[in-house]
Amino acid sequence: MADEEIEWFDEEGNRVDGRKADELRETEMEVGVLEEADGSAMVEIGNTRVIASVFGPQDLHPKHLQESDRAVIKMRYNMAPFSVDDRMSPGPNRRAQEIELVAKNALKPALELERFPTAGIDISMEVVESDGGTRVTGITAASLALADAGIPMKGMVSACAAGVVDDTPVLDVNGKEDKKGNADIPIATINRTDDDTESTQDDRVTLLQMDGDLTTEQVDECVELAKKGCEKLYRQQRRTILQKYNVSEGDQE
Amino acid sequence: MSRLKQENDIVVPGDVVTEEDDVRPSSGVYTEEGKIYSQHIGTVKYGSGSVRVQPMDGRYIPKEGDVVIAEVTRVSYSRWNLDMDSPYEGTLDISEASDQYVDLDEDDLTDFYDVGDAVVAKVTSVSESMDVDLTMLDDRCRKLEEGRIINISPHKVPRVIGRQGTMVQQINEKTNCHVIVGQNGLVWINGENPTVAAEAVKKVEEEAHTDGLTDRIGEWIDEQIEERGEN
Repeated sequence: MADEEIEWFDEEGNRVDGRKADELRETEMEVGVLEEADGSAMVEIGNTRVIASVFGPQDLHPKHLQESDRAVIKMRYNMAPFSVDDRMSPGPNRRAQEIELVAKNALKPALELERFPTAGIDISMEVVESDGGTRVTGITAASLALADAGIPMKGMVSACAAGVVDDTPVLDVNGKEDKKGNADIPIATINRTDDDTESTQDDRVTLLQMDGDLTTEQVDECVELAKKGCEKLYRQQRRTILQKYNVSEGDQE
Repeated sequence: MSRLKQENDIVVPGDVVTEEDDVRPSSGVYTEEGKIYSQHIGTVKYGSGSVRVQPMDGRYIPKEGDVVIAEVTRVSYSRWNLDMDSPYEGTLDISEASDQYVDLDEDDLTDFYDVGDAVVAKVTSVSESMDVDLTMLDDRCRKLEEGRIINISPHKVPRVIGRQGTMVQQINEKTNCHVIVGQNGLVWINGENPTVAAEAVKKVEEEAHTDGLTDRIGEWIDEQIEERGEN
């Protein structure tokens, strides 16, 4: 590859988009964005924007997919044709299939599926705009949508990626850092909280992938960094839900 | 050991509700390592020695003894299938539909209930695999003619009914309507001011987690009827 040298950090150590190494992109969340869905949410992290919807629990067809003792999740991940800089050809592909699988497994441990035997829950993650980290943003949005749909959960799932550019671990890689950087590690965690200030993660990581070449130390650093990012996102998830019901975090004792 | 959330506090899945030893977990919560966590977005409700979280939203899951409003979706040889706006379908057997003898080969089941008919039915049993049996042999059960049916969250039903039925009684009296609230979140309305009644029910649903609702709804209905009456 005849790559031009990218300057990943300026003199002050800021990244290509002006962030510090351990800083998330600007994040917006909203729950209940769709009228017809049982639960829905939109999460925007930098230029990445995902809308998640949840339908169900509902009758599941075809019948042979039903499980007699729990609900079955059907996951859908789709990128809109206009979500990338060059038109993305629509329809399922192998990448989407992989993401559907890992996202489903990232959410499943948090859900009380035994409460709805034989039923099905449809989760859909629509990527409207993509600039790196769509799978983790999708999981964060899907978790909000599931809570909005009233599906019983052990805790909120938040997901975040950390990567390495120029041999330095950075949090929440953007599109450019993802494509041209050394590697990235997406992580999802199940979060719970003891009170409004202290959050406990219980180290329950439900997604951990890696693409690229990293040293053991770098992997450890990235995992730690991404966990911190997940915690921040979790707090914002909580805030977003409470705001919908007109409660600010300080109001509660 | 402390009580971290108070009555009517709003919680999110994974929030610790209480660490008290002597509080029993009821619905909408789970216990882990002596702490009681919420499973839902909802409000905290303490009972005598127990705690539960009342979810804000969610589908209706049939429970024995519930009186629901359902629509007939299929008529077979000796029973009907009913949609209760739930993931699970209800079954009404002919023996539960009429006291009288019915000759299955002679009589037409559609004379009782046909596809598309709405009925008030009672849940008699729910099996482990979520087969739901319904009955019409209860004073409250009947076929619904005329009127309209609106949809609310099943978790807001207790609020729409009110304590000892005060809320629904108030809506009935003030709008001159007959309102039947099914436990599954379907509400049948028939009478003089059905639109006001429907909007009032919707308003109760939206503001279910606020205080002093009965009085506020009462005033609101009075205003609405006055306004619309003049038009």
